[in-house]
Amino acid sequence: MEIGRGLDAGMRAVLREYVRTLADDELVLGHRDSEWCAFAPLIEEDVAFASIAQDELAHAQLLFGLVEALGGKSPDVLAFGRGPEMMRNAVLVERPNGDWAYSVARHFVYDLADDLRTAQWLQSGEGAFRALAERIRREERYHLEHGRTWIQALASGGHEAAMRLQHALDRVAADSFDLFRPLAWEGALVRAGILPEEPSHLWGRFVTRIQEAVRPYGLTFTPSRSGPSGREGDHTPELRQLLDTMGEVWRSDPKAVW
Amino acid sequence: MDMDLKDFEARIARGELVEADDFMPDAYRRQCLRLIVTHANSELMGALPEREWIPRAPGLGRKLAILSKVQDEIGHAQMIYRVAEDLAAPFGITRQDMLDDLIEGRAKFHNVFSYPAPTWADVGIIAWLVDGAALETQGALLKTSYAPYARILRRICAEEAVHLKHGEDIVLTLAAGTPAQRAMLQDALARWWRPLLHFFGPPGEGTNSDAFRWRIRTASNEALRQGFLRKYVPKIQRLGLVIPDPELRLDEASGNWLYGDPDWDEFWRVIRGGGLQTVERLSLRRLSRAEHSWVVAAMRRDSAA
Repeated sequence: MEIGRGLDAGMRAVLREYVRTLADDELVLGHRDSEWCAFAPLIEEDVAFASIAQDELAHAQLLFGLVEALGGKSPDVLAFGRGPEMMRNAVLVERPNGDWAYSVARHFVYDLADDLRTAQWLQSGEGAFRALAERIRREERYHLEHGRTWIQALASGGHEAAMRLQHALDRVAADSFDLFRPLAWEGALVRAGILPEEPSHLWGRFVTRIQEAVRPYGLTFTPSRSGPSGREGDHTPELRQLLDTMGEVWRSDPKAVW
Repeated sequence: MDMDLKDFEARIARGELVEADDFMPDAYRRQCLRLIVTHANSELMGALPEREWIPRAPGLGRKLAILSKVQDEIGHAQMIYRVAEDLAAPFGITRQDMLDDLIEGRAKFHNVFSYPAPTWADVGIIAWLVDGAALETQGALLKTSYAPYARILRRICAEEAVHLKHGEDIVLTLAAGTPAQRAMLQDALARWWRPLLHFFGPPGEGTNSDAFRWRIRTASNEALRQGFLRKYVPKIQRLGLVIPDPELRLDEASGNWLYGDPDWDEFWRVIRGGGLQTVERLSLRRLSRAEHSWVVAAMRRDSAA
């Protein structure tokens, strides 16, 4: 896919940084989702989470492809060849899956964030983003629907389920600022006409949308602005474990064809 | 013989198919059920050795492919359990009962899913040869007299053919790869060869049992094994891999492959739950059930509300 035509080297580097951030989110969450396969509460959910995981990983592959087109390394090298200090994913997506309520709540919150940021792409001056938005948003609609169904089922599923869900939302809220953390290069993307506004400006709308989505069930979402900054390379030990597992075979011989 | 049974057998003899709502003798229902539940269990258990490699698949393309394959296997289990549910209803058996039987180690599943898959090459061998063996069996079952099972098998066989390509691609890539990759592949083949011969069950069973007379099954264990050997032995040999059986040779007169004694005692031990990984893999499913009892309870409350 063609991207970054007419941009100078500095602007292409900014764009690489932005796309890599999104790709890392999708890669790490897709990996976490895939861990549910054959361990979910129902056979139907083994299938559903495997499908969602494939969507996220396929998005990561597409986005890494854009990074490559902008002069970066190949998608597999980017996905399998980096240590945690090089990763730009939000800490939220690297947290271990925890219980079903945590996985459901995290995905729902992440999908709403993804919905807001891909909506920006529809107004992008970059054709590649407009094309990607079409595809990704079509799939994300299904993810959001899946999440809503489970939020409702758990919220209406008795005391234990509702308690677990609220606890999960609290944990997710504590990590969620990372998704829209203001970053140094944001302004340049707006000035170049690539994004209609800085992604960090979406934060307020993001919080409101989640609060409106969970309020009917008597649930709350109270985010904090503290929490580690995965966007700036500050990660948990669990990300290193995840990357070591993911790269176990590939890194045994990175030059080999697998 | 009572009239119902006589009519039923006449229908089968005419080549007619049996639908879920048709009359069928209890013995027919039980035999179908046993076969179909074992198949469903095998699809579910078959997802587990490969599941272990989803997090470690080398490359985004491989990761997507193996995830899609495991998803298919679990989807097959889901579809086949539905067929089994209809058959089991008159006996008062539910899908949950079947899953409980499996998890508690009371139900049968295919021997091959009791073995460890210690390297990435095992993933290739499983997807190529174990799925190849499964396709051989399932292809023969397309002619089964129980129509709902035959219909589901048509879809499953189409998907299995895709899995075979995925497995073959991994195997070909390793075979054309570095010396270490080739060695890994050869080791994996050596590990899986005997379980693959076991896959079809012991030879020498008669084809005059009820299962054959009622056309629940149409091909004997040995006929299926020979079909598999005819297809795959030449392919494996063309890759320059060594099949670990010095007695393996083609008998020109019969067109059959002759093979060394694959130790049927080992087969029976595994089938009775003594496989290396049986306990570990079943305990994964047990852990999932224990950890998620609250989710199942929540869903019941939500749907009752």
